[in-house]
Amino acid sequence: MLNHLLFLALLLLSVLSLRFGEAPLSLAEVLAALIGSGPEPHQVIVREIRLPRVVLAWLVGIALGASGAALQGLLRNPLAEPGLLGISASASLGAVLTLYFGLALVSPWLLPAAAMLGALLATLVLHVLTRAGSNNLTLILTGVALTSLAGALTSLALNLAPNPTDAQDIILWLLGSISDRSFDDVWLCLPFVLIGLALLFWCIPALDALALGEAEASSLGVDLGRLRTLIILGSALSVGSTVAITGTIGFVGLVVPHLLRRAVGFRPGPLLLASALGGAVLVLAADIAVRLPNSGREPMLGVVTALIGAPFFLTLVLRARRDML
Amino acid sequence: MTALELSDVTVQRGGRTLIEAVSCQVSAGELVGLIGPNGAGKSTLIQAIAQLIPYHGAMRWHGKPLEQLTARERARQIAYLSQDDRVQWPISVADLVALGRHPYRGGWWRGAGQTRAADQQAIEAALHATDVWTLRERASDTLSGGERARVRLARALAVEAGLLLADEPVAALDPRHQLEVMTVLRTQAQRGASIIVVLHDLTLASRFCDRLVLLNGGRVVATGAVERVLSAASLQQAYGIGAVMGEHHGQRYWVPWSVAPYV
Repeated sequence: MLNHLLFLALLLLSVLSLRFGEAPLSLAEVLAALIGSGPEPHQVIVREIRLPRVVLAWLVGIALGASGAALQGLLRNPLAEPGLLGISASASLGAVLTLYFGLALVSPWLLPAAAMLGALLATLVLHVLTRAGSNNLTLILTGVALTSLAGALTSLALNLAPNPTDAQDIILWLLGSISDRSFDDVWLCLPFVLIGLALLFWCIPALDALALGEAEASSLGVDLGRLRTLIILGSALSVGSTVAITGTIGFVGLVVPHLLRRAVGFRPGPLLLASALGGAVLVLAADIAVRLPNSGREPMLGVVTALIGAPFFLTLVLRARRDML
Repeated sequence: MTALELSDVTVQRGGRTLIEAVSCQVSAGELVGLIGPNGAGKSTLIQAIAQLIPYHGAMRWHGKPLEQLTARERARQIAYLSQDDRVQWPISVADLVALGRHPYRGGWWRGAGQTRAADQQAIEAALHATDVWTLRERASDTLSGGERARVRLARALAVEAGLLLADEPVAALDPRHQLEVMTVLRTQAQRGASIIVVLHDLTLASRFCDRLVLLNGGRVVATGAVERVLSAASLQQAYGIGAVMGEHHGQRYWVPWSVAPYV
């Protein structure tokens, strides 16, 4: 029921997103353009400018939401999110380095490729350090260290940027956006997102069992080491590849599972699918919101999700504090 | 008939020997109490039997080496109830108990809502056996300690395993809840399950268990009938206490009495 509602919201927002923009279109015009009839400019606007944007919003939101829910279930810590593992930060670093060295101008593929390489390296470090007989604390500490390191190197690149335009390119990319993306970008990240999601969804029964704690979950047949590997890899593939295309989009992975947890009866497994849909709804809504002011300059998507996310998070903390008092 | 057989089981961790050459047997339908002072290795032995930690030596389940079972087979045969009674998310009691059916669950495409008839039956039976049927809609974080203990036991019963390992299931419970939990274990044993229960309460152990295994320093000090294991000599050796024995309706029970041998 909840998932049906979320899916319905997703479809409605997608249609809205296809209609909104510099040239607002009616529903009929959008549908006509989608099936390849109607005036040529409409077809270009809908199919080549707005549709990739909608699809990317879906992919980013689904990746962030599912990965956030999986990590919170694995670590049994409501503060966990994809950014925590250092995968997003490392992907960002890869992208920033191509901008810093001016490589992004050489080929449009270099920036996302470098970002994915960054995510991959971070995953390897996580995997090696948390492989044998380690626990969740090692995973969190490794993630924090990777995030700090990648953040520091990103700042260094900004710091030493040869000219102000490079610095501005870097900053704008870091803010996160899905505007001006094409289907080339979609095809680039789609396979990784799909494989990553498959790995995450594979973990659903084990995540449910983990509500009993690690010892009892193991006694029910859950292989904790394998579960950790699957979730790190699934998060890295899905989130790393979308960050490579869109830049950092914060707070979605943290906030969405929290919003939906009560509605799924706190069960970590069903939360995964709901959070995937919810993440897409949130990103799509935020992406429509950034286009609303219509003042010529859009605020960046990553900024808007954080602007929605941070106050929400504070109220969450306040409510938790009130419950404890 | 011997269901579980341990021979020369040794557990080492960080260069220390926690369990040393333990051998014992548990029959089908038998409720065995595992007793011993703090740090004797009771929980370690239970975890080794549950295949949660590495060990040396042999364990056989109905003649078949336990380590040869696949994870899923093992999970269906052995139910384990840990000492840690926290539930990580405030899921409902019904959902919590349903987790006992995890070893029978398919992949993610089969949602938790669509449980098979056999699963449903096992879950309901477990809820009734532990008398928590009326709590099934409650969130697990709203339960009292006694309610939570019975709900967690129901989760373990829902596995319908032949072997139930319970690590201090009555710790921190009031006398009524202690009696209730022990009665449930007793009933399950009568239905044919082999049960090993870690206990600190010698009175409950002597009252409810068919046999006792007394551990001290990772070794078996005494094993067998309750009278033999709770002899003055072995109680003095393992716990450094004396106990008095009473009898009620032909059933003997022991009450710890003094920190010196009781004369």
